[in-house]
Amino acid sequence: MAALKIVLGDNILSLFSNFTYLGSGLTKVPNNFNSTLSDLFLWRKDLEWSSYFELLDINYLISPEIKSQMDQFATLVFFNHSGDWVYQTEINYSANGRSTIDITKILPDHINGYGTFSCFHLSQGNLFEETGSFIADRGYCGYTRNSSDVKSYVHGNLDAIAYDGEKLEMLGNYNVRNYEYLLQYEFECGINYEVILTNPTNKKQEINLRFENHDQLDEKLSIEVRGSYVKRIFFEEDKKVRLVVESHMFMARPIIFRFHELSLDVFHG
Amino acid sequence: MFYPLIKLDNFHGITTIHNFSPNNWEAEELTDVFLYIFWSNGAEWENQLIGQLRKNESLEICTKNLSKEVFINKVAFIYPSKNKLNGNLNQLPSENIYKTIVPSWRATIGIESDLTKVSYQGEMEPFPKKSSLLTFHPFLQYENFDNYLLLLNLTNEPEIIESQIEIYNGFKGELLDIKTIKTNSASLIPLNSYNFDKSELPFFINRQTSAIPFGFGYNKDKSIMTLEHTHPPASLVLHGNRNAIQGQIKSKWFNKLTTNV
Repeated sequence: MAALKIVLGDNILSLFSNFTYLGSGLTKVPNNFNSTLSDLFLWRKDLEWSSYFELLDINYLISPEIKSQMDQFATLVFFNHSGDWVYQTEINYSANGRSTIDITKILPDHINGYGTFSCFHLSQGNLFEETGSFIADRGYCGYTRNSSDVKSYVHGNLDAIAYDGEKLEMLGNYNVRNYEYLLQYEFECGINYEVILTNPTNKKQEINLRFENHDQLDEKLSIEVRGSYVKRIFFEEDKKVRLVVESHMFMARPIIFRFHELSLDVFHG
Repeated sequence: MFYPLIKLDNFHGITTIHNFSPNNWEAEELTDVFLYIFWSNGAEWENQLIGQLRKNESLEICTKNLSKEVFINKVAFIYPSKNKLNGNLNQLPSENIYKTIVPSWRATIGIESDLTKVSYQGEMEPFPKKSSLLTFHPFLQYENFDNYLLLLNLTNEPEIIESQIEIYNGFKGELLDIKTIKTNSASLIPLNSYNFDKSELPFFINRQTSAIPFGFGYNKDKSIMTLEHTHPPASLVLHGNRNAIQGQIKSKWFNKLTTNV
């Protein structure tokens, strides 16, 4: 590597990283073909927030020809914002096209704040072992504030985690290079935002949030495995502000909450 | 690459084009671009220069500031071009100046009422002439909320071609309705009249044409809105040949759900 660096100069890092990036892909292949995959979804639960998950019969959506009488169930695994396991439950959803899971109600009273969760469909094993594909839940989360009846929905962000019924395996990729993910979005003055970051890798990640045109918001932080972080953004100066997320993760794409007086807009950055 | 600017009745559309790369690992040299807006008159692609975007700048384009004729199909398409274009075209231009893959080079695409707005980060490539659509809508809402399926289609050819979208209660397999949608247009299908209950999953099938599907909705005074795309079947799996699996899933459902009642 050192010799190559002498020959190629700084380009070696780019070449090496691009090769590694392309070779690895955004998401690792799980070690166990019996695993099913899930996103790391965000849950929020406190006096202000409620969260919902739309649980679908994914096995049936994939294979309507093998609809059987057997029970279909999903395993929901919850982590706190530090990435620690806090709760797990199985939900039977047989014969339902759609079940709206009120996360605020299924989490025990003492679990509050925010964190991540995943949803695994293990009922029928992996239906695609021959093609090397895995069932994945990238489903939809809805969020409400202040007891509103209307949910703001966002779909899964990244296939992040695998589960074979015994072990969890993190699938997010990273390497030694600094990757700058530039949100193609401009934050506006006078509006409250929250930017949510998660860590889908198997290593604690250091992240540098760099705000172009408003460096008072800059922040260096670290996120534990399966952990999450909420960065609040507000400024009064009449200007537009951009965000660069610098990390070793291949695509540190955040979720953004934009708050309006009565509603909220949630989307992927 | 094209970026939709959506104009629905009683709402305005806002699309912000960004002339900076979304990452530093696929970054190419930036250049100033001309922004054109395209719409189909059924025979040709009409277009109009709406601005110039210097490198590293962003520009917000709003339906309020453009003439009504641009939105005869309820959506027009913004195209960043290195060069000036000359007059109407028989096909969309194919030069793509934004080449990032992970993620794609996206715009901020929004719909606003007088009281709020919703948005997503997106882009659009023309669909092939022959394509199909299977999607599910898992986030209908209730309590005085108007739910719609919003479909955006773009093809290289300017013809406005009608096709049928079938609406099913998927798990019961009941055909509820057939609606017409158009190419190179935004189509808005109201869903409340089908009275889907909270455990039902609406299915939508189009056997001739594809589109980007969204769940769109709002409350009575439009102070609360939602907009989110619904997943294609390929999103149900990861790794391996996802396109082939998507084809298999579509084929199974297309055979299972038929209009022969």
